[in-house]
Amino acid sequence: MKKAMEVLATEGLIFFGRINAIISHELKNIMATISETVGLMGDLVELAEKGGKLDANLLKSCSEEVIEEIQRGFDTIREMNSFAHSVDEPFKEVQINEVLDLAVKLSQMKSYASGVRQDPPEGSGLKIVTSPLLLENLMYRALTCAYASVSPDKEIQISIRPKDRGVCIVFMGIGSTQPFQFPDENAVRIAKALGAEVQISSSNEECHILLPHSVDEA
Amino acid sequence: MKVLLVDDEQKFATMLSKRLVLRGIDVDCVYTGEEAMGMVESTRYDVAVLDVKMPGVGGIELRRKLSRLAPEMQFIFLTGHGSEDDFELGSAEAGFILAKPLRIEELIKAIYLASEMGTKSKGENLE
Repeated sequence: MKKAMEVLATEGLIFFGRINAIISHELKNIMATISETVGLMGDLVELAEKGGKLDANLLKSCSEEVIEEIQRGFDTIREMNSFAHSVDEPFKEVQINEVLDLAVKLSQMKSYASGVRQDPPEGSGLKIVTSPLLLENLMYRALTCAYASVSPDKEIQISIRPKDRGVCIVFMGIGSTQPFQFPDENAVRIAKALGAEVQISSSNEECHILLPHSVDEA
Repeated sequence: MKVLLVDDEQKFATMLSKRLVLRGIDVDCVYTGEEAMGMVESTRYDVAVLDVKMPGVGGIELRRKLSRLAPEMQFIFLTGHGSEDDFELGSAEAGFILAKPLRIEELIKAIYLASEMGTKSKGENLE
């Protein structure tokens, strides 16, 4: 656990900052889109005031767009809040699918992200004792490498499976256009700190991340 | 005047391009650097408006690539954060850098100024 604490202090802090920057970028994009959409609505009204025909359909689609963007903003803030609570305790019991779900949502803020399908989880209720922040970091890294290895229209499949000594998270459908370049040096450090083992299939199409029941056992 | 708008935030780019069209600007809108290069290969643009941060080919690198394809094209950068670093980098690479959310009047002004700069430099090259 001492090793995990060391990695948490370095990699964890860097990751925390990086995710906050990504979230702020996402919120800024939402605000900018709302600003341009409302601006366009104003333009249309101004044109109508000057005697032009009011394009009711465009006005309606603008209003729907604003509602959608506001919802996207609420979702982003909810994810930001969940992420902020990842550091409440350095180690705790977590439900694997919840950590994975948050990592997926955060990684989807990348505009090159492909779709992700989480299989009906036989392991949805599985729990382990770990560092939530480091586990999110490891999942996030695996996901961004997965996106980089497929074209954006492809879907990555993820499943959670119980294993004798813990849990296995399986990424499938990766490496179809580019090699799946995971884990890099930092991801190896994080995996080691979590007591995790990363296995990539020889075809480069599947990645298995095995996690122990407790980081204490690492 | 013909403008190319490149921003990976698709909804933002679509709305902005509609507002520019309403103001009489002929604008094409694409969402990636790769698409932008394809457009510049086939169409002549006076000004390109580029988002600084985009996946794949980012705005700064894209400006260099597009300049090679169309040396007279002028550039305006858009930045999400408006940090000092962004402004320094953007100013070094292009005459104009604007922070999001935009004021449409400022963008229009920058587009016309950039277009004039392009016309001048074209004239100087002809001399």
